[in-house]
This record gives sequence, C-alpha cells and structure tokens, in this order.
Amino acid sequence: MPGKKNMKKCTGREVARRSHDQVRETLAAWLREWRIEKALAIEESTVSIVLYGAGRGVERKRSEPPRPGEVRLLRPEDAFSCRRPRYVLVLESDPRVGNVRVVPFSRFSTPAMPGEHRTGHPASPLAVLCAWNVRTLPWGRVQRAWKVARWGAARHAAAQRAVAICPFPDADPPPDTAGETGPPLTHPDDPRWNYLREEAAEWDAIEQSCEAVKPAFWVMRERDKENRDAKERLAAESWPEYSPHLPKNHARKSRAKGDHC
Amino acid sequence: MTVSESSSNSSLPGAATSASSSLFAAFDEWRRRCALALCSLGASHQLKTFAWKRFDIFCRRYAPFVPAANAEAGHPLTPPPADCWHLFETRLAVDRTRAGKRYKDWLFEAARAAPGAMLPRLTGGATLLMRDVVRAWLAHEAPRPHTNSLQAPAGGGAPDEAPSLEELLPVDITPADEAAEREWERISVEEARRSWRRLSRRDRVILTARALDLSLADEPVVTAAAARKSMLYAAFHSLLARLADDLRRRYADEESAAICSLARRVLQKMECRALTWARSEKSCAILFSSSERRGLCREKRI
Repeated sequence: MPGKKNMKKCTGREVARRSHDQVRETLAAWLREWRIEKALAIEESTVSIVLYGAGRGVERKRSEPPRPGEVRLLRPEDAFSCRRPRYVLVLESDPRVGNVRVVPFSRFSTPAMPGEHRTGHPASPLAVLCAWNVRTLPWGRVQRAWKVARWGAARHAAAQRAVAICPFPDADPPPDTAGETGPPLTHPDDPRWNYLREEAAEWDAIEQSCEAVKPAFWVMRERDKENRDAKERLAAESWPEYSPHLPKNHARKSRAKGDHC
Repeated sequence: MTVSESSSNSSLPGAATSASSSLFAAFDEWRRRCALALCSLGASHQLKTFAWKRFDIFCRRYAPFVPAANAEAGHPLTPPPADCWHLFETRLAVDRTRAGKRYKDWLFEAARAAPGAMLPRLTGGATLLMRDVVRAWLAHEAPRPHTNSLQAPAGGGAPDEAPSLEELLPVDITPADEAAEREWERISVEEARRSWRRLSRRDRVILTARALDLSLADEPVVTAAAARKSMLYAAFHSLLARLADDLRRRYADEESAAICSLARRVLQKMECRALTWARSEKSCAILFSSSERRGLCREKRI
C-alpha cells in the first residue's frame, strides 16, 4: 500500500535525521565546554594562586589492592595529578606483573570523539570514559590511590568493550555505539585535536613520573665506565667484567655454579 | 583581577593573618564534618563567601560586564553564596558516601605534601576545583541561545580563523554516477602514491595500526612505533593536516566537504600500502598478532 511505503521511507529518513542532529548536538556541547574552559583558564601571572608542588612525603596506611571494576582517585604525587582530580577505572590488575591497566575519565561531561564513551553514571567526574587513553601504571601507584566506587559487572563489561573496539579519532564509531560516543575528527583544525594532544601529554607525564617497576631478576652492572649498554655486547667482544647484584636471599652455592655467566 | 587569600578588606597584617587562620579552620572543620550544613555558622559563612568570590571571578572572566551602580555587586550569572558552595560540593562528589567525597582528601593531601603554609595551596586547589565546577555549570545551566549556528566559528575565535561547526561535522559525499566514482578512485590512488613517499616510519606504523583496527592506545602500537602515546596522536594529527593542506592546494576549486571526502579515500589507499609495507617489517609483526587477538576478543564480547 502506498501509505505504508511512505511511512517506511519517512521512518528511515527520520532516523537518519535524528542521528545527524544528535551528532551535531554532541559536538556543539563539547565545543561549548571547551570554549568555556579556555575562557576560564587561570594565568599565573595575573592570579596569585599558588599551584601545588608534587610531594610524596605523607605517610599512608596500607591500602587495599586494586581490583578490576574499581574506580580510583590518584593521589597528587606529580605535577599533573595536582592540577585536577584524576579518576581512573581499573581494567586489569596482576600483582605478579606489577602493573595495573587503567582507563582515565574525561574532565568533560560530553564525549569528544569516537574513543570516548558515556558511562551513564550520574556523577559528573565519571560521566565519560576515555577508552583511547588506556594507561599502564605501577601497582603501588594505583594501590595508594583512593577507592571511590566499584562498578557492577555490566558497566565494567561495557568499559572493556569500549576499550576493545576503540577506533582511531577520525574513524566512524561502530553503529551500535553512535549515541554514546563523540563524532569523528574530520578537520585538521578541529580544537578536539588540541584536547587530545594535551590530555595524552599529561598522562604520558603521569606515567613517566611513576617509579619504574623493577623486574624480579638480577641486575648486572659493569665495573668499567665505558658508555655502553650493560645488557648488550657485540658479537666479537669478550664478556666484560661485572659484579652481579644479587638479591639478599640468594643462596651462596648458586654463585659457585656460575649461573650468572 | 587577582585572587588573594588574605581578606580584601583588611589593611593590617595581623587582621590578614587572623582571617587566613579562620579560613583554614573553616576548611578543616568542613573536612572533618563532611558537609557544610554540619559546620558552625562562622565556618559556613566563611566557606560560602569564599565559594561565591571564586564563582564570581570566573563568571566575570567568562562574560565581562560593567556593573551598573554597585561595584561590589556580583556578576548576573553568579548564583547566591549558598548555591555556589552547594554546586562545589555536589559536582565534585561521586556519591554521598565518604568514599565518594575523596576529592576532599585529594585537596588536603596536596596542600600538606609540600613545605610551607598550607592555606595558599589549599585555597589554590579549591579554586582549581571551582573552575571545573563553574565550567560545567556555565555549559549546562547558564542561559544560552536555543540554536547552535552551523556557520559560527567552532573554536570561538574570529570567523576567518577557526573552522565553523558545519566544517567539523562528519559528512560523506557520494558521487551520483559511476564515471565520477571512477574519477574519485583514480585521484585517490594517485594522491596516495604521492603522499606515501613522504611518510616517515612512524607514520607508516600508525597507518598500519589503523588498517588493522588497532588503537593508538594499544601497547603493541606504542612498541612498534617506539614513541609515547602523545607523540603518536601528534604524529597522526600532523599526517592528516599535511594531507589536507596538500589536497586543498592541489584542488583549490573543490568544496571543503569534497576535499574532506577525498582525504578519507586517500587515507584508505595509504592504509592498504601500509599493510603491504608492514608485512615485510619485522618490527611490525607485533601489530599483526595483536590484531588477531583483538579480533578474537571483539568476537567474544560483541
């Protein structure tokens, strides 16, 4: 019947139009927050606000080990963690490896690009998850962080899925996530590129500020002062003199066997 | 306008010190009592005044205005003092439990960590938090036009400098006939060949990751490219910008949307080249294995 055919066409067109409207509103909302943030930027030359310095001197009680699904607030132990609260969702944690895989939350309430997802959580600090910015932090850093919330299995699974399917910033998001993510970056002068670079650089700095995880094997050091990497040697060279640095509980008889040669 | 922690109305050093210590005591009491409503009247008044002043400063920064008569009057957008502090508490909290209000611990720990007086760092940190609260409030609750003009500059700058909202929205131009489609394909293949020669190794790794449906946040991509995530995103942005500039120069008569569509096609062609290149690169083997694992994981979860 002609009427029914027209209704089908109208429905499909209506869906496409609503989808385009949603994309436009999401982008406009994010740009609005971005413009406001730039307008409110604090300049140290004009404002006598004393910003934090990083410090770790505060004694802390032993904290709970991080578990997948927990939302944690990083302690202000570096310059960037001092500028704003940094909330992260724990994805994977393995004490044997010594690292914890986390996903940061956005400071904005609207997703910027396809790699950011609305979580559906009512709290503003946990509204948007930055799946594009997955990080690996040392176990100790995350253990010291404050436990803020714990997500249910469904929300945690949604976060893991968001990380698993995270596309490039300019790629179209999967159709079933179109309503939860931001629109792709198509213009090289899009201000979202600035946001992406700034946020990535800050989290790089947070990762670098963490103590390096020491692997559970012996550390060999050269006695001579040549500028050579102690872990490599050229094929024709003989072994350099070394003094093995053994763990304190290492048994003496293993040294006699020459295990470290 | 400056934000000073000593009382703006006090001229004696002793009075400034007294005001500072009472403000610090008010913050401390708020932290111990957990909510402003449970604090004493004096502390409550101090904190509300502090919040109102900060909120007003940010509103004036957002929308400068000239007060009509009373110079002390607040900005028209600034809420009453009680509302300012209420917004401060509610926007930053995750929930009503103690765990959900850990931002207070964050505020005080940073103030304690460094040597010297705590109050400047404490109020400085509270000001940084208030900035985020004001941003969210202005974005969602402040008066704004009911429509967003598509031609308005998206970044808020001059019209001829920043791209408009219309230019930032994704759009795809599909040629109406086969002849035009073949022409698009021919141009994109030719442009991809030209652009490929100028790509660095890092750019090629990025395109390989893109072709394999990996993310720039994945560790194998970071390892293969030997660069941090921020460098990868910066490199990808630079690649797109160079491609866009090149196409705009060569096809100056085409519409912006057409060039955008052509750029996407060229990118797809370069991805195919990147896959072929990566198969002969030992350092990119990790990308292929990661892509296989990711594909398996994606099938399990979707």
